[in-house]
Formats: sequence, C-alpha cells, structure tokens
Amino acid sequence: MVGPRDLLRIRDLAVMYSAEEGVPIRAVDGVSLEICAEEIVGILGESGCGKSTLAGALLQLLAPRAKCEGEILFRGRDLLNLSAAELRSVRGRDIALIPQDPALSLNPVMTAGSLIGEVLRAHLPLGAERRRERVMGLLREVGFDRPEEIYSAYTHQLSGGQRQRIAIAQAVACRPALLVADEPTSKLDATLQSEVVALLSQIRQQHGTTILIISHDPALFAGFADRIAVMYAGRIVEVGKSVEILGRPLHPYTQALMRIATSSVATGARANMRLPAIAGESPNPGCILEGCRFEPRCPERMQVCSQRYPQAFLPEPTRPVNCFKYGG
Amino acid sequence: MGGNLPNMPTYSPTYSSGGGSSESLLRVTGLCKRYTRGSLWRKRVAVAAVVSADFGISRGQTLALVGESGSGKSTVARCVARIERPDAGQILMQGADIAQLAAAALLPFRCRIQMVFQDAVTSMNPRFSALEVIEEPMRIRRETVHDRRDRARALMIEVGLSPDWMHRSISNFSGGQRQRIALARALTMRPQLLVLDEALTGLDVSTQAQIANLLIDLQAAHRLTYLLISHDLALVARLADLIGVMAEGRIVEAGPAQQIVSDPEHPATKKLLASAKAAAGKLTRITGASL
Repeated sequence: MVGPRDLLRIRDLAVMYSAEEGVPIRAVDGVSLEICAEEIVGILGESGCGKSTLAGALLQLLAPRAKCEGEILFRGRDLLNLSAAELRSVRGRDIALIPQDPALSLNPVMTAGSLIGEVLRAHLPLGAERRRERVMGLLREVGFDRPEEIYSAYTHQLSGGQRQRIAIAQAVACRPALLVADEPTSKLDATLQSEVVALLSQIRQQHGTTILIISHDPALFAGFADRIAVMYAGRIVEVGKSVEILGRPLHPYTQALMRIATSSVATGARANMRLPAIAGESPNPGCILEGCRFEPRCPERMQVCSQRYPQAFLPEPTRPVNCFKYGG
Repeated sequence: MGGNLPNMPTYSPTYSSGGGSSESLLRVTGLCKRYTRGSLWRKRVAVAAVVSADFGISRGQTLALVGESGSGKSTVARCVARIERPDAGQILMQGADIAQLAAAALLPFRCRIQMVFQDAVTSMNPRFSALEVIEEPMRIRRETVHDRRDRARALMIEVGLSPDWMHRSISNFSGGQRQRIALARALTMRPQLLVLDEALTGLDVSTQAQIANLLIDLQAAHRLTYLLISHDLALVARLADLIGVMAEGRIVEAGPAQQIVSDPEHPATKKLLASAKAAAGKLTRITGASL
C-alpha cells in the first residue's frame, strides 16, 4: 500500500498535553496513517478521542503546552522538524485547514473579500487587481452567484452556511495539496451539510486536492470519503475503505457506533422507544489503560483485552483492526 | 401555504404516553413575537420571528417543534419559558395565562417550566463545580445547605453521574456530561414542563443516543412534559408524540409523530423529511441489511 503516491505519512504520532500535576495527557497515542494524493480520508471518532488534536498536529497549530512525538512526513519532509518560518510557508499554501466554527475563525472586522485576499497576499505575489479577480473567482467557485455582494460583506451579515463557504474559499485560495477539514459541517443543518460535502468533492475533482476530513458522524462519510480511520481514545482502532467500514465494521466499537447511526437515521417513528446506545463513557484521557481502551464498554471483551493493547490484526488483507477478536 | 392552518390537536388518546390522562398542561394560542432590526443610523424595522403559533400539550407528552434555522421554533420556546415576552397571544400554563406576567408574578411558574439549552456550558458559570451549578436554583430559593446537597446528590445519580464528581469544575466534564448536569439542574425545581431547545444538537451520535434515552427515562419517572425544539426530524420522530413543523414563523403542519413522518403534506415538512432521508439513505445503501 505504501508507495511514492503517499502525500502524507504519519508514523507513531503521539501528542501530549502537559498537565499541571501528574503525568501528561496523551491525547493522540501512537497513530500511524498513510494518505495518498487525491484521496479523501475520514477520521471517525467521538469528541475527546483526539481527532481534533490530530488535525492540529498536522498543521502544527497546537497549544504551546502540547508536545509531539513521532513523524509527520508531508512529501517526505517531517513537519515536526520545520522552523516557525518554514511552517508559515507550508500552512495555507501546501496544507490548509477548514475550521469547525467559521464564526470563531473569521475576523469580524474584515470583509469576506479581504479575509480571502489576506491568504493570497501572504503566499502569492499578486497585485491588488489580480488578487481581487482571484478572490471573485474563489467566491464563485464556492457557490456564490453574485460575488460582488459577498466581497464587501462582514461575517455577521452572513449566514452560517455562507460563513463556512468563506472559510472554504480561504482554505483553497492557494490551491493547497492537502485540506484538513475539522468537523466542517457539525454546526450546519442537514441541507447545508450535504452542500458542503458536495463542494469538497468538487474541489477534489477539479484540483486533485487531498482531503482529510474529521467527523463524529458516519453518515457524513457515506458516498464521500474513500477510506475511513476510526479513532477511539487517542488511537486508531480500524482502517479501511469507506464502504467496508460503514457497511461491514469489524471493530466492536465501530459496530456499536454504526448500530446507533443506522437506528437514529431510521425514520420509522416509534415514539418513546429507547435507542441503542453504548453504555459508559470514553476513558478519561488522563488515565492510562494497559489494555484495549474500549474494553470497559465492549460487549465482546475477553480476559486478554484488559491485559495488553491489541496490535493491528489483518482479518482481511487491507483491513487492519486493533482487536483480539481477530488474533492474539 | 393555504389560508387554513391546521391547529395542533391538544390530545389524541392513541399517543398519550404513560398514565393515559388527558390533562392539558400547556395551551398556546395566537403567539406572536417581533424583533426589531436596524442600527443607530438605519431605520429600525420589525421582523416577525413568530407570526402566529397555536398548540397544546397534555401532561406527560412530548411535543416537538421542528423547522429549519430561522423558522421561529426557538422563539416559541423562549416565549413559553418566558425568557422573551410575546407581543401577542396567550400562553396558558394549567389555565393561567403567563404571556404578559411581570417578573414577580412569573416566579412560581419559573419552577414549573425549566429550560435546557443546546450548548449547556454557556448556560453555566465556568468557575462553578458541578454541585454549585446543580444547586444554584435551590440556593436562589433559599433552601438549606443540607436539602440542597441531598437533592443534588440524588439527581446526579439519576442523570447518570457519579456524586463523587460533584466538586469537580464544570470545565472537566464532557459535552454529554454537561448536558446531564443541565438536566439535573432543571429537575431541582421539580418542573412539570421542560423546554429543550436543541438540547441534543451538537452531541456525538453515541452521546446523543444516551441523552435521548435519559430523557425517556426521566419523563417516565417524573411524568414530565417536553417541548422539544430541533431541526433533526429523524431524531425527533423517535422521541415525540406530536410534531409541529414550523416555517416562516408559523406552524404549517401538525399531528402525531407517526403521521408527520409517514404522510407529510406541507412542502416544509417534505423538505425536512427529504434531507433526513437523504442522510439515512446514504448510510442504508452502504449498510444494507448487514446490521
């Protein structure tokens, strides 16, 4: 699987947040993942599983108290060894982020046009006139039919969906090779969600952009992501083709998650019927479990599960699963 | 949109949950709320968030108001909880019209109607511990320390939190746990009606299922009545007895949940159902019968 087409190779990445007292919290713990050029990879996981920390690590936009170990090879260069100046030239031009909440990331005292123009100015030597043209083109590309009107609008004058489009236009302004989208649709309603997903698909198609998209919602990945990596408590527990992960999940956690996802979208109204749920909560990131992190909640746990962490077994040639059900 | 808007049936025997009593708890008629928009320099214009809303809920029932953002559903919720004062219309809580009551006269009703918001943490003092958040309403009502502590402990257990965590700062709890704390706080006042404004939105799928189940359990245990505000028709269909669909400040279609989902009439309902089904369809096409 690993070949020259790899755009991004994450090897044994760990991100630790130093706590005021006691041992540092390992938000991401030993994550390895390869992403090929022009691929759309989804990271599926619940809040607190470390998926946003992973996104932050890729752009080296973590809190100062976070410490990274391992390797993040982007086109062969380890992002963890770059200087601040080198990182600034990578961010926005080679790797760009679509944030979760554009209302928080867009400067409220700048117009939409200048927000997008700012990214171009930081990376490309364009004159004011050319830059304005590019911004208009980008606004059109993200679906604004009348870009002149949006160009001079402030973010508070825009709807949530429009703001997310501005954030996407900012991210794709310099035609980055890799887009990292951190829950880009979680604040939007169902109709807007599908529009954003369609827009991202279109960007990949037109520009060959590689996309790493993070979400807690399996439905978002259906028909969109090529592959999915499932994260639980800081680790990837299962990787595979999107159709396989959603249609035939192998890890007990993914199986439980899919039971919930398919039941809450089943529109047969059965008032006051309890929904299938996973009992318990994810482990506190501060506590270290010797064994599998899903073991306390797992309906199929065995004795070995609490003793050591399962390595990736290959029940099928292209499907690594970290679960003792498939070997040990 | 036809001139004749369907009114919400106050009670339908088939859809009462629990005891089967038809005692009406809340009756809203002709509710209207306008906001003014404008700035220092521009002319102020009135924007009607809710043009006219009529509905009723019986004790122990769940009524869901669904609609797209901007349809006016949250404004209805805020008027019922009397965070906003409506411009016109009646809000009859067990026969008493609370629509225009002033602060002092509202006090007894504040206990009976409690509200839970989407983003629980923004409705909590970030410097408080879980215990302080939960007992805050009781402290305002000058209950004794002993009573407060006892009830907070019992409610924490009931909503699925360990009382050992009561002194932990609110910032150390996850989104789902904070929503449990918000529910415990609301229950300290022994309310009859809970107004849940997108209380399940923004949670993970598994957390959402847990909180939904908790709502079902609490409703049965306390004979609670829910006014549930959501844009997620698929989720609402699992929880509500009655659904009212809102569009442009009006309830455009209302009826038993089953009927709304299986036989939608209004274009707004059809649109909501279509987007819920589109999301479901993508998954079921892949998952098929394998689960």
